[in-house]
Amino acid sequence: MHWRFGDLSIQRQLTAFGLLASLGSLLVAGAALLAFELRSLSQAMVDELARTASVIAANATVAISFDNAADAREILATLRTQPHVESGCIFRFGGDAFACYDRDGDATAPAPLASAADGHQWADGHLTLALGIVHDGKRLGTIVVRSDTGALHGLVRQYLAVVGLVFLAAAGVAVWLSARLQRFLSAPILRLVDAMSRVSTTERRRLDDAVDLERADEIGLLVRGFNDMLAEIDRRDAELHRTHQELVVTSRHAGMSEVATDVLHNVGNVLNSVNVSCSLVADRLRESKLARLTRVVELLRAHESDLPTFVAESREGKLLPRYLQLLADQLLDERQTMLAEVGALTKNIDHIKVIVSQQQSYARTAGMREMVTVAQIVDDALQLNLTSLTRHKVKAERDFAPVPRICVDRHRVLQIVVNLVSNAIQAMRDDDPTAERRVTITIEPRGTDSVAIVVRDTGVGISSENLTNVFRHGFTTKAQGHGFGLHSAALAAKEMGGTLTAESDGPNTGATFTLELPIDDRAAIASETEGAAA
Amino acid sequence: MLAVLLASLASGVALAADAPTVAQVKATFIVRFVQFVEWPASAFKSADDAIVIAVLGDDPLAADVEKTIASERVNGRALQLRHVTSPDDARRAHVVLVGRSEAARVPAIVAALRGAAVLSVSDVESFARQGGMIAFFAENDRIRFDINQKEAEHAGLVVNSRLLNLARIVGTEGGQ
Repeated sequence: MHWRFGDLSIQRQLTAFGLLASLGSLLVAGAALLAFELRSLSQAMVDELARTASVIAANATVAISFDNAADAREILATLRTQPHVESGCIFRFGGDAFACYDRDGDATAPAPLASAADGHQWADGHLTLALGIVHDGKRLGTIVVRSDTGALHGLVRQYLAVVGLVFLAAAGVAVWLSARLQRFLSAPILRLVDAMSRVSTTERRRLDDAVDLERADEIGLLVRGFNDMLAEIDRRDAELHRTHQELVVTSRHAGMSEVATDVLHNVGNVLNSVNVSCSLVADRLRESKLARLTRVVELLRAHESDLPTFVAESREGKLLPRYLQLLADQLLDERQTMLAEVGALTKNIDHIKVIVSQQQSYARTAGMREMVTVAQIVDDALQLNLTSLTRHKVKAERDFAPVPRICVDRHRVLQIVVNLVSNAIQAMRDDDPTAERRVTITIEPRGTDSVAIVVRDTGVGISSENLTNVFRHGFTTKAQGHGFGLHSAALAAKEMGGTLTAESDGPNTGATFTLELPIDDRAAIASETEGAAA
Repeated sequence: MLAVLLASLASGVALAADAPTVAQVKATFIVRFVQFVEWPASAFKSADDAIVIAVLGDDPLAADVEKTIASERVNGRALQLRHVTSPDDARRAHVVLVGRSEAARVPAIVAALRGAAVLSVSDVESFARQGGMIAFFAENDRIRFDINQKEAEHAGLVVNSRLLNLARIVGTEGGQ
């Protein structure tokens, strides 16, 4: 980048202006004076030479009249007192040289002198002047003198030296004055600049930085404009703040609805299992062998009077104990199954309760962090999706590497994994009966401070352009989808300091979702490695 | 260059044509003396009064002087030549040329002229030393002249200082 004048500070610019202006005018004045001086100096030189010539002319009249060249030479010799006169010659009327003088002792008349007409002329650094020698109204001859311009040059040199000194002095004064006077202009501007930088770097009220300066000139206008601008900025800031507040409220509402959708989605997932358990229990109850016990009771009532005989002798009575034994076994079995189902139901309802209570509190940090075994969470998630897996004939595979326990909000991780497994099941292709239907869940350490839960399916896969879209709120490829499952899952992962990423080689190649979670520093203290099949 | 050459040729011809004789030079000098001497105002009756050159006695210069003055004017005045026989007659003239014939009578002539504003000139070499004002003499083939400045001053004449510079200044010998 090349240097620009505009890059200098305003103080330097003003000083430079002052300096340039004064030196520029001084230069013009100096040049004009020099020209004038040169003119008057050269005129003075002509006058001086003319005076000398006329004195010689007056003196030479007698010498010419009496044809006394020696006297004429003697008169001319007075030119010696003027060192700048190079030569002089007296010509008789008619043309021939009568007497000559040469500063350097050359007796012959210099050629230029002979042809000189009356008057003066400057040529080749010489001044040549010719003057008629007249006595009593008669022209006796001509005196021609020639001078070098050394005197003039000397004077010009002197003059230039003086001008140079004045120039330097003026430059000094100009710099000094400019440096002093420029403050009058630059100080308010610098204050503006200062105020501006304060305004642009601070958050507080701008009007406090208003520049206090009353001036009628353009700088005053600038300051007033600046202050008005500050007031305007303050006004807009206030407006912006208000709008921001409104926006926060609006987005909170929007966020709450998003959370509600999220809750419904997660609850919906669990309700699926609840529903399955309920219908199972209902089926069992409907097909219960309890009715057979009623029939046994009716039979015994009918034979109330001869009960011992009936039991001991009739064919039915003899079979009764064995029948009761079988019935009891069956009822016990029934009870066992239903107890298990109700147990699962209770667990699911408990999960729903947690989901709801978690969202009710709606403090993102409110989640209970605890040391958990990753394999336990994954197994819970598979358990929650078990019915769905069975119904869609999807095979689940577990591949758990030993990883440390991690400190997380158990339910949020569970929700994410449940979501991922549920998505994997729904991604299975229905168009190709020969296609493999399998979900592989892998647990593996990532580096020294993270654990990854990888859910890989053999489903429809994800096209490359959708790989990032899948995490966007509202995006779904499912007809019944809402498009918030993965979005909120990714958000939750981020909030826990982890990541959720998706990979797929394209349509019909399956998809892999990886949830990476940090091992909390608390886990480092309890750095106990757990077994693979916990 | 050609002009210079022509000019020098022309002047050469002129010199060859009239190489001045000694008499002619002296005659010219006499006229020049008139040019560089001032007479008191009382010496002339009017502004255009002629300057009178009187010739006392016989002198070979007289003819040349007469020829020279024919074409000359000094300070607007014409020059006249007049032959006189006595110094008293010469007192009314402005210049008196004392002829060679009068060489023996110089002291008497000078005495007779004393007090008059008359410039006395003579070809007699000792003239100035005897109380005359200007006398020709020869030196190294050049014509020079003596001036007795005191006598000129006594007569009320002012001799140009440059003219004095050219001259050999002499005084009157042997007292009054």
